[in-house]
Amino acid sequence: MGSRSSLMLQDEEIAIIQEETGFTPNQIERLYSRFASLDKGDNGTLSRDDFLRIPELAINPLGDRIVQAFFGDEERINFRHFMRVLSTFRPVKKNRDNKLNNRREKLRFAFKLYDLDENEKITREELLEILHMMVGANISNEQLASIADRTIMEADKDGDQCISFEEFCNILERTDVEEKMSIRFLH
Amino acid sequence: MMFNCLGELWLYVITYTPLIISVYLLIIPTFGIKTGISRCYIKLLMSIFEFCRQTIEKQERKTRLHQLRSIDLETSSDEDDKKDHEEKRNAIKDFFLRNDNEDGDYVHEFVLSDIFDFIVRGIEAVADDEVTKRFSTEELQTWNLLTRTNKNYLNVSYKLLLFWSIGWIFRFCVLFPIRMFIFVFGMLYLLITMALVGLLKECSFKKWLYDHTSVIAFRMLSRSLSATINYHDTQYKPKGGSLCVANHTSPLDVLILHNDNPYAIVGQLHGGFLGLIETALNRATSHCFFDRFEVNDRSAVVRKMRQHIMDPKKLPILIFPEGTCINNSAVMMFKKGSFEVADVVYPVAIKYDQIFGDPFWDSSKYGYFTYIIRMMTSWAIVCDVWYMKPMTREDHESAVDFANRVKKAIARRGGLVDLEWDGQLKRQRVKPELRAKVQSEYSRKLSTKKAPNPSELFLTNNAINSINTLETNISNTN
Repeated sequence: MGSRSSLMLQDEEIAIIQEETGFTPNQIERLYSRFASLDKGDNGTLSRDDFLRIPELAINPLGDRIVQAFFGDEERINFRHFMRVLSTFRPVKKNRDNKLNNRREKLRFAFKLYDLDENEKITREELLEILHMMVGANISNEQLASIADRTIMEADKDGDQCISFEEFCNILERTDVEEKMSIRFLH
Repeated sequence: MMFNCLGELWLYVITYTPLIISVYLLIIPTFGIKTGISRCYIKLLMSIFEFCRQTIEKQERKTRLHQLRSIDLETSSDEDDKKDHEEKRNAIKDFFLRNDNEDGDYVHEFVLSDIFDFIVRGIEAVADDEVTKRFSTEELQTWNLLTRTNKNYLNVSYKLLLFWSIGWIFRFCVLFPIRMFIFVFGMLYLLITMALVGLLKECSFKKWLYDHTSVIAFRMLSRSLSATINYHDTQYKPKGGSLCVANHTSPLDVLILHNDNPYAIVGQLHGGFLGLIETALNRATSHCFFDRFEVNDRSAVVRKMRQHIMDPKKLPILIFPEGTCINNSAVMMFKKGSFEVADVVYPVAIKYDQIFGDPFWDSSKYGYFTYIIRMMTSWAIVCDVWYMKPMTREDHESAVDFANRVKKAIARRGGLVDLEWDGQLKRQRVKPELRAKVQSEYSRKLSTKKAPNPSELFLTNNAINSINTLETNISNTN
């Protein structure tokens, strides 16, 4: 039960996570009880299945990719790992050290979602696959192909028909990433 | 001598207390007398909880001060959070609403940053979601001196520990035996009277007898949980041959509503202890219990219900259209079935005060008997019941729309969050159609008309951007 495990979070652990992620102790405790309630097996770690049991994530067309971003090669993740990924989405504060939630980290998260084979390049095929996930069967393959071609053409500077992370950052230069890639964590 | 006297007194207490309680039990529920004892008890509890809250606050201020120094003052205040929460409510509908507000409702071309919206929605759902938390105990604002609630301050101070211990002894050694006695008494009364009523032939006397005996039995049972119920707007109490729909927190809902008015119950067939009560009731009059997983059953139920509500002599049907227990913080999707049967329904909103005991039955975790024991060792069951003006289906309204309208009204009356999600998500996964719905929503916003123009291939990024903004302006003015 969530009640007992929430007591297991020691003050030292809170301090470490606070130092690492910038969350406040209250936020850490709140997210810990969230973590514990998602942890159906009560073993202190979460599996992909635990994530996909959240209906609002399960209906998200990119839900699987988002779960993948949490897990990488791991089968299960612990609370610290969970917090590290979430901290990417903390709002950016001026005059403050934003190690994990700066603009570049936020962009890195989005880039990795496109980069299916994790080779630091978004190819046309990868982009097509993500597009397909986003629109389902509503838009024809030819139309998607033309969208993918145009997008790559716009972003690709060195002519390798792929989008590198630098090119990705450049094309989104004028987008308010800090605002759009942040969420409000309750206290 | 003194000792002897005491011994004798004790003997008297032992032999006569059950007798007195039995008489008390028979008289009070039969005439529906209000003694006011439970209200005093509730008031006393309130002041104890308030004291505990203050103790905890003081303690927290002391120990947490050094940790709190780094709290971000710039981040949202509580009020903002609340507003945010409001906005998040209807997840399916609002999935892309924010996008609409910012950019206007125009069709745009795909840009790589379109993915941000999906990501942020996903991460928000990971950090907190509207559905899964409805299937576990609701978070309390103050600790209620029960260790099974989600907040547990046992080790905060000795004062609290003392209060908790006294409370525990009181709950388990005083309240529980008395309540158990009342409960057994009530159950026996229910089983016996229902069996007897069942022997009678259908006539108006039987109906009269059933109405009274069942209500009395349920009043006794509700006393075994120290139920304090406030009924509002009783002029809208459902009448014979009608359909009453209510939000569902636990099987106690039946008990609470039946305290005031007899109903024919439609619901899931249970085994075990709850099954025993169901069989007892079923013996005396026409209720309808069925297995929700048997599809054949379902159409038979609909037919039976339709016949039932045609007859004004029959009891009003009570149904919980959510089809499962929710933790009383929200109302979830109403199944359209019951709204296909009747054009007029009597909505009822039930809201419990969870500080005295959490009435939510997590049927996936423990059985009904365990649940009853938990309830009997809680402080009390305190709740409000609002009878609402009957609602009529409009001419061209579909059963689904009607169901939603009623659900909304109940949510508003009971101060509950109105959700569109299906309560069956407690047991099952999301249907893939919902994901498809989100995909089609996004696709509608995506422009696909324009095939790539070869001449464009030579344009610089800036030029393309300015063309895009130009197009945007045009489509906006259109």
